[in-house]
Amino acid sequence: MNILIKYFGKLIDISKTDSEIVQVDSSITAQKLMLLLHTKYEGLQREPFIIFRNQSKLTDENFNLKENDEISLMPPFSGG
Amino acid sequence: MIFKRMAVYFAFCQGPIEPGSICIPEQQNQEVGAMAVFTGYVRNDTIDTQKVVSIEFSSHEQIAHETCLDLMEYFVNKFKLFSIRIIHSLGTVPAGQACFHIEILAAHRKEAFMALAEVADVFKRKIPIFGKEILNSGNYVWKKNRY
Repeated sequence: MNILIKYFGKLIDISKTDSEIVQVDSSITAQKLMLLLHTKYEGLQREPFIIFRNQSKLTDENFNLKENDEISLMPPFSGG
Repeated sequence: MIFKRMAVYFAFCQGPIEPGSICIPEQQNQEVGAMAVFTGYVRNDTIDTQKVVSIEFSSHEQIAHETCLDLMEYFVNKFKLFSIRIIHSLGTVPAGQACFHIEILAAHRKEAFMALAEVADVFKRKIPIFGKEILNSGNYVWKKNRY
């Protein structure tokens, strides 16, 4: 299934893109998706970030993602 | 894009906040006794001997919208305010120009001042906005807020 990944802030420097669609197994958890992304972008392992799923903060790493979910990876905020 | 809900108002604007948009607005509520205002500007900080010449702001706008309105409603109730109005820039803002503006209306100055400080602090912590500090060399660093 397809998952839309959005990158923000410093993470864009690591992924070299602000968004991408990744194809994953239909039963993938958020934790496994992060492992996949860490493997793809080694620099992600060194950066703190929080994860949003469809505009809500994701707190359960074992949550099973759904087709066409939007996953946003956000480093510490720096507005204001 | 403007987001409004009852007594709270939040808008992003492209580039610097124009001085004309943040002059003290006329208000006709005779129960209001105080307006507290904060305007944040891009500062020409020195980073490793280089000067910040501008900041490029970006955001997850939809999450920023929902989170900001929820937070502002919380503060309206906490401090018994009449309204909160916030504007924040997206895109490039040169050093010396405004990028963040808060107006708070309350019955008394005590609540207005207390709310202003807390709203500014919580906004910086909780709203998904990101700043890229552009240096005079052409290089950049990602902004880190200090609390």
